[in-house]
Amino acid sequence: MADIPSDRRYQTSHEWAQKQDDGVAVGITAFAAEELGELVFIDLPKVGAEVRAGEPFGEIESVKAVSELIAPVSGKITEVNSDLESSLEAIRESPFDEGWMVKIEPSDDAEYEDLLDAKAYKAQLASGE
Amino acid sequence: MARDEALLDGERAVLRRTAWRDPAVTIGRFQEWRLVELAGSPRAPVRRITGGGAILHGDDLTLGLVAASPSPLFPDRAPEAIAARLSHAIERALSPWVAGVHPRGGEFAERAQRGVLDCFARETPFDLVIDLTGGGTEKIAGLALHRRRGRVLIQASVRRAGRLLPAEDGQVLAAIADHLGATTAAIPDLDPGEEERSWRLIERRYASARWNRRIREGAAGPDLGAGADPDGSDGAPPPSDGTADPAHPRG
Repeated sequence: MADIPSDRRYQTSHEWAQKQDDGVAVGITAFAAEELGELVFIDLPKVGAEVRAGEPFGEIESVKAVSELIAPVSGKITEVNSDLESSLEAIRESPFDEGWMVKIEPSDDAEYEDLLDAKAYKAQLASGE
Repeated sequence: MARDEALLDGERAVLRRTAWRDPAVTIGRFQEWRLVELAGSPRAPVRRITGGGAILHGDDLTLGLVAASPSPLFPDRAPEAIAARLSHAIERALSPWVAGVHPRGGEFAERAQRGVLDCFARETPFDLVIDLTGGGTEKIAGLALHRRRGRVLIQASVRRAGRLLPAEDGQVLAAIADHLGATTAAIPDLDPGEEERSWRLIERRYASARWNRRIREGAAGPDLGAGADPDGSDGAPPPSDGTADPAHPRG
């Protein structure tokens, strides 16, 4: 099983969230990235867009499959990783670092605390879900 | 398209077909509208929520399969595994009528094919093909997926081509349902709640030029005047269709 960084939180739909000085960074886990296969297109929101926890904030297309990206926390998009437009490979090669997708200014800190920690996410992966 | 998505937002596993009153074109989730239009589409294309390329419908068998993932039907969440599962069921179902049908196989090269408009000109390992007498292959079925909240929609187009399939689509649909598992069965149609959801989706999405032309909020987009025509219906109720439900035993 791939290493699961303990410096962030996770949700069952395989997105990660990490509190940073300028907001909560969001991406997908190594498991999700590997599962998707070759990536073709990503659609991310614009800076300033409002997102809601549990709702899609974007979509990613891989092998003819469009998968929804689910926001782990609610809030306003403050930054979008525009490098991904020309380098989608970063999501698979460096899912927890260069493959970050958006940063969110959270509107409810409790939502972050409710996410899975690394141990719980590892347990989810081990259960095959 | 709206009915397929309405089922994706439901809870049951369903295999259904879409019938077309007139030829119609659907395009992949991220395809450029203008390129498809310039390529001579006979009607305003409707954008699918699934990936892949443009499809001219009418002389094809258009299928939608929705189910949970992971689930007994799709134990592996990976798109490749899900597509392979349905592709295999279609292959086995077609084999009595289509000699030599088999998966294309080989490696994925999706990014290299982004500019290829026509689904049937794209090559993916889980395509179904037949070998041609003079060499090479002809693609007869293509698949595309959308994953949402632990469920998946797979849309497939199987070319009828006037010679490949029996006249009765229901035979093929039932055979595919059989090959998807012992609990598959035919059911008549969507329930009232699913129908209502599909109509909301038509209004909000599939009849919207903003959706079909993929005009992003705040963007200077193309002319919004020419609306698209969901399910080829010109605003009429979606055509009746056959539906098979992998969740319920056939009597």
